[in-house]
Amino acid sequence: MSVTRRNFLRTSAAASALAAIGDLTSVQEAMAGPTDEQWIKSVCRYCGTGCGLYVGVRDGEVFAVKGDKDNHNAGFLCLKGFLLPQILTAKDRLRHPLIRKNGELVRASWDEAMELVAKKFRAAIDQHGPDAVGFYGSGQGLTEETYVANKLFKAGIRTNNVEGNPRLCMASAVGGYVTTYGKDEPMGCYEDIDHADVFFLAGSNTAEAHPILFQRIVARKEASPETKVIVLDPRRTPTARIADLHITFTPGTDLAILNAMAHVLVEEGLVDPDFITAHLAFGQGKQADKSWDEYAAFLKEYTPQKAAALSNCRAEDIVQAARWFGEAGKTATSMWTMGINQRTRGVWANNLIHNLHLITGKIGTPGSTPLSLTGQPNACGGVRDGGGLSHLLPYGRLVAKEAHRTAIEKLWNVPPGTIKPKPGLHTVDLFRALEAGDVKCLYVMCTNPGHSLPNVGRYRKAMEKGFMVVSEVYHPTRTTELADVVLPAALWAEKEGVYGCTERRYQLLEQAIDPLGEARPDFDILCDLGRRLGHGDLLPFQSPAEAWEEILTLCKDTPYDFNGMTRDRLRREHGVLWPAPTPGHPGTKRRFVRGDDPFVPVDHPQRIKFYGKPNDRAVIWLRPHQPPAEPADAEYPTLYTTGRVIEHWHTGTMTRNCKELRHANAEAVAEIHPDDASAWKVRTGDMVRIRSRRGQEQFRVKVTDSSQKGLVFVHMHDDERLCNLITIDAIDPGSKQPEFKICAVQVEKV
Amino acid sequence: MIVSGVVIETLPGNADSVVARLREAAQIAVEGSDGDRRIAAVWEGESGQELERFAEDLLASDEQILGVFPVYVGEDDE
Repeated sequence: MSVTRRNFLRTSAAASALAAIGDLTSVQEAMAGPTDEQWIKSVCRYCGTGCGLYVGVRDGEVFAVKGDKDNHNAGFLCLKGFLLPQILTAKDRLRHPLIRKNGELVRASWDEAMELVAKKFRAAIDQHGPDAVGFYGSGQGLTEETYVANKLFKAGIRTNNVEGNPRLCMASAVGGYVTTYGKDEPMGCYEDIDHADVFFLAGSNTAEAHPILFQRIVARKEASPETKVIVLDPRRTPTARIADLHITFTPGTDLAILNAMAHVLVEEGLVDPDFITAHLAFGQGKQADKSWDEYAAFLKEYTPQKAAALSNCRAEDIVQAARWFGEAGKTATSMWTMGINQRTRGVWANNLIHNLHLITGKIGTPGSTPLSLTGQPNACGGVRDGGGLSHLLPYGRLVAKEAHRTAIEKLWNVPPGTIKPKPGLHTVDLFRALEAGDVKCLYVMCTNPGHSLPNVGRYRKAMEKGFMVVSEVYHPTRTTELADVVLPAALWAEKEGVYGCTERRYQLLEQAIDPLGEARPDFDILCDLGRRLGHGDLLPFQSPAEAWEEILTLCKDTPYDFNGMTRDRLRREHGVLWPAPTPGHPGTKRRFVRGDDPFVPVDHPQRIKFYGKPNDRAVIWLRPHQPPAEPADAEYPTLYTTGRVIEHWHTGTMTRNCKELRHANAEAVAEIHPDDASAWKVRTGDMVRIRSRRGQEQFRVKVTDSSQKGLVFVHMHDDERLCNLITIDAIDPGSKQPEFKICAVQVEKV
Repeated sequence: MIVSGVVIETLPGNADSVVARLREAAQIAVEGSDGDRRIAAVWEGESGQELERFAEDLLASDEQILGVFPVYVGEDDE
């Protein structure tokens, strides 16, 4: 049966409305079965919201899911979540290993495939050294999976070439938290939404990318109609439709707007002098050696009028946003995602959002927090916290710091000097090294770089050139088609492990069913590879639960300490927010806050202690406006940006395998403003060719004033129309995150 | 074309009588209610502005309705 987009929207709308009034039974009725069924506690496989759910199992198969009323999502799920059972039995599921022979991927046994992988990796390491191999993982892998990969490569093989797709989505958020507070990860929690008087949503289409959090924002506004929602986004997204104030602007100019908001806060006395005196330092570049007066002088330049002229927005809107944000006695919560992070000045943009909270003192109280939203279910817990990037070691430690390497070497019981002191290659450089032939072998786990990298045409050639192993659930994908070996990975309810979501909540996904066909959990595959490479002693685990026991030893005595999260506790409870250092600790809703964060002494004289920074002072950074790497010009006069739609997720490997979702917005379209459409003589349904300096692709046109004039927005999930052939691989110098969100293009009717 | 999931809040105990009236209205389909003060419905119309007008008219015309809150908005160009 064909499901029209209209029907899909009706179903989504009805489900959302029913969920909002708590009538989950009606939503789930159709899915529920009468007898011999089990309901197993788990977590949604999609975005970084980390919604709790129960997996319904009957006759060894998942037949339904239902929201977990005792979790933060209060039983609500979006439609993607409700349709999760379909991803397990999709026709594209890979059921056995494949190896490339004579240019074709053909069926192989596990032993044959793994021996080939081990042989190729051994040869590359022996002939060219450990840095001739690399690992590219995912914010969708389980914590224990990323952990064993990290240990195998950094301590066994002895290369720091361990990266993952969180580099593409949240590295700038990490950079912002670390530079401002000295410690990564948000200090607040979802509960802050229920107490916020003002929401500042910047570069985030929350309604489509994080629908359950959006619903919670709507609920807050419903309960307290005077709540203000400010949206800072070049597009008129569904999120913007609930905005009390929507500021559109020329992409790449929002740093000026953020500074101008700070300007208004300072000029109109909407700052908190006591908080500033007690808790803040000021810096520029990399040194925190400036003063409040120097910061105020820096802001003088950013009048609302100048910022508005630069950004093509209204000065009075900037003033209004600042006044609402800074109003005395009101709480303010900021949320942001890729519009802020995927930028060559993403870290700076993050710093400027933190500045707003810090100078107003709107932080660390219920309803006041800067909360960066995460796109993947375990980018925070597995990769960011677990240290699964080339410059990181587990739980806040850095490769470049000798003391940190020494600590991890002791915990891993490996000889001193085992971990190399130089950070490995970040994602863009890793694929450039593959292109140059410096990296010979790459192990890709649970991600789709042949679709998702910026300037992907260039790196697809690199992936063809090197020896690439892809552990993946589905085949074909735009990455497996380039692989030399494809390993069938178990998916979601077929395995056990921990996910850590946006708000520092760690939750256990229990195994509910057996893996399909010959699929195996990535944890098992990686331990197998370790043994074949002679590093079995590093990975002696019989189960992810055993690895978790070791992980607990690594987080001890760090600000992450979650030793209170025993496996049994995670099985019983509905997620716990770290730090939670002892079994009886309830978890921490707000970090750095006396009486809540266990690392702030109970007798600390102030309510806040930013213990990640010297003298316990968070840093206000003086960050000037800088243009994007590739602004529009005479030759490429239009700006290009990409993003999600509510029906699909990431590269669509899961959502395009759900029949209701496949029929809704499956084809990526180019959203074009009516004025541009008129100038280019195109109408909805026509085809356009979009060309950048790197590549081109054709898309069907959708004429809509959601896009502003001079800006084309293209969906990112479609594997038949690669939006990333066009995007730019320029990176933020600090976070190394690419500027997916802005580049210059030509558009012509086909 | 806009498709929106909306929650309609009524005076306590008035959900059923409001549901009865909504069933006569064009553009809106009732999906369920809590039997007390909240109704789940799907509204379809041409634009967000039309949705706003609809909500305002509903509030103005039915004194048992306290609020109309969109919880989902989708756009369909088919």
